Amino acid sequence: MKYVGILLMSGALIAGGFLAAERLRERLRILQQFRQIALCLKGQILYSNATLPEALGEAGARFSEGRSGTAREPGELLLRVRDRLKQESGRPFSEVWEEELARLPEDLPLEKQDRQALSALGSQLGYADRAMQERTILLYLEQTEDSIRDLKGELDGRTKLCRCMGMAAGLFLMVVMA
Amino acid sequence: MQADDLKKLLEQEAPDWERIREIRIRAGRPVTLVSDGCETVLADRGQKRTGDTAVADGRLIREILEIVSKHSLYAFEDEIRQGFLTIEGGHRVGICGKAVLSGDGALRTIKDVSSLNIRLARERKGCADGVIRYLYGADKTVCSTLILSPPGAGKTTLLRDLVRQISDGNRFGDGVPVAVVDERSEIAACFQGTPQCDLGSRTDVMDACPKTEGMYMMIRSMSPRVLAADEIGTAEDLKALRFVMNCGCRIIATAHADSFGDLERRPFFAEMVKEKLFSRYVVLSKFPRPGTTVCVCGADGKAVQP
Repeated sequence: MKYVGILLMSGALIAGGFLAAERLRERLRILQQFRQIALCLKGQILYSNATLPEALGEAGARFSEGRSGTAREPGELLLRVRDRLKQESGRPFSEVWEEELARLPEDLPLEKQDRQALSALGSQLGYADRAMQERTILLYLEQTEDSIRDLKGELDGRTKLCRCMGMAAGLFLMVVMA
Repeated sequence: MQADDLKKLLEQEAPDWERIREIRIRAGRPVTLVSDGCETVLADRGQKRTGDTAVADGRLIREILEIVSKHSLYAFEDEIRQGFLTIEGGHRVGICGKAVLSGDGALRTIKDVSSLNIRLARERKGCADGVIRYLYGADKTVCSTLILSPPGAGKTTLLRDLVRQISDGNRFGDGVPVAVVDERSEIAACFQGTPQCDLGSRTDVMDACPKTEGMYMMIRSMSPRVLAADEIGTAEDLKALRFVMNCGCRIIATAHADSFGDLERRPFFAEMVKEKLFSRYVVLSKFPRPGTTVCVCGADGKAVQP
C-alpha cells in the first residue's frame, strides 16, 4: 500500500510538471488569439466604422464559435462585454470592460502583464477619434507581440525545465519515501 | 442627474409621449420637451434643491452621448462635424459645444458639449393620404416632387409615407420599385442593414451613403422608377438630380424652404425651378401642427388640382 501511495504521489508531481509545461503553451495560444481579436477589432473599427458593441459582437462570435474550454474564453469575454453594454448603456465602456476582465477564470493561463495590457486596451477604446482607436489597438498589438516573442523564445527551455522539475521531484519523493 | 434618472422622469412626467417631438437638454438648465409647437419643462417632483424642474448637468450630457454613440463617438466623427448624429430608430441628436478647428480652419470636432436636442423621428402611416392624389400624372405615373418646409415641419415623415405608398401601390397608381438614398439614416432608420420603418415592399435602401454618390449607384444598380432623397441643396445634388431624371427616373425629395417663392429666390433652387426638374412642390408648415399641408404647386408654382 505504501508503495502504491509513493507511486501515486510521484506520478502526481511528474504530471504537475507536464501540466505546468502545457500551461505555458496554452498561454501562447491565448495570447495569439487575443492578437487575432485585436486585428479583427481594428478591421471592424477602421474599415467598417463599427461601433464598439458591433465590433465586439462580430469579433466575439468569430472567436467563440466552434471552440471549447479556455480557447473559448477570449471570444466569450467580448460577447459578455457587448451584452452588458446593451443592458447598462449609461456606464462607461472602460468600467464594464474592467469588470468583465476581473471575471475571467482564475485558471486562464494569463500573466499579470497580459491582463494589464488588456486592461489598458479597454481603458482607451471608444475614446476620441478613429486615429486614437487605431493607436490604442496598435499599442496593444505591440505589447502582445512582445509577450508572444518572449514566450516563444523561452518556451522550449521552460517546457523542458517544467517537465524535468516535475520528474526530478517525483523521483526525489520516490527515493526519500521508499 | 444621471441618464437613468432622466429616463424615469420622462416615463413618469412626460404628458403625452406620442406627441413629443424634441427633448432639449442644456447644461445647468431645465430639460424641456417640445410637442406640436408648445414647450413644457420636465417636472421633477422629487428634486428639492432645484425647485420642481429636472435640471440637466454636464454628466447627464456625457452619459447621453455615451448611450447614443454606443460608447463609440469615433464612429460618428463625420456626423458630429455636421453638428448632429442619427441614432437607431432614425432619431436625430443635435450637438452644441465648443468647436475644435483643424489647421486649415475646417471643423474637426465638437468638444465640451453643452446642449443636446433630441429630435424624435415619427413614423406616421397615412400622413401622405391628403397629398398623394396630387402627385400622380394623367398617365398614372408619379410626378417628381419636392417637399418644402422649415426644419421640424414633418418633411421626412411625409417623404417616408410617400415612399411606402408609392412602393406598395395605392388607389392612384400601381406599386413601383423605389430607391431610397438615406444619407443620415433618418428615412428608413436602418439598423444593421434592416429598415426599422416601413418603406414598402418594393423599396431598396442605400443607408448612410452620401446623396450624390448614392443616387448614381442606385440608378446603375437597382433600376428604380422612383428615387427618394432627403434635404437636397448643393450644386452636386443638382447634377445628380439631372442625371437621375435623364435616366427616366422620378424623384421625391425634400428641401428647407418656407414657400415656393422662397425657393425661387435662392440661386441653386431657382435654377432647378427654371429647368422644371420637379413638377410638384408640396409646402408644409409647423402650424397649427407639424405636417400641415399649406399647398401643392405645379412646376410653375400654381396650385394644382387632383
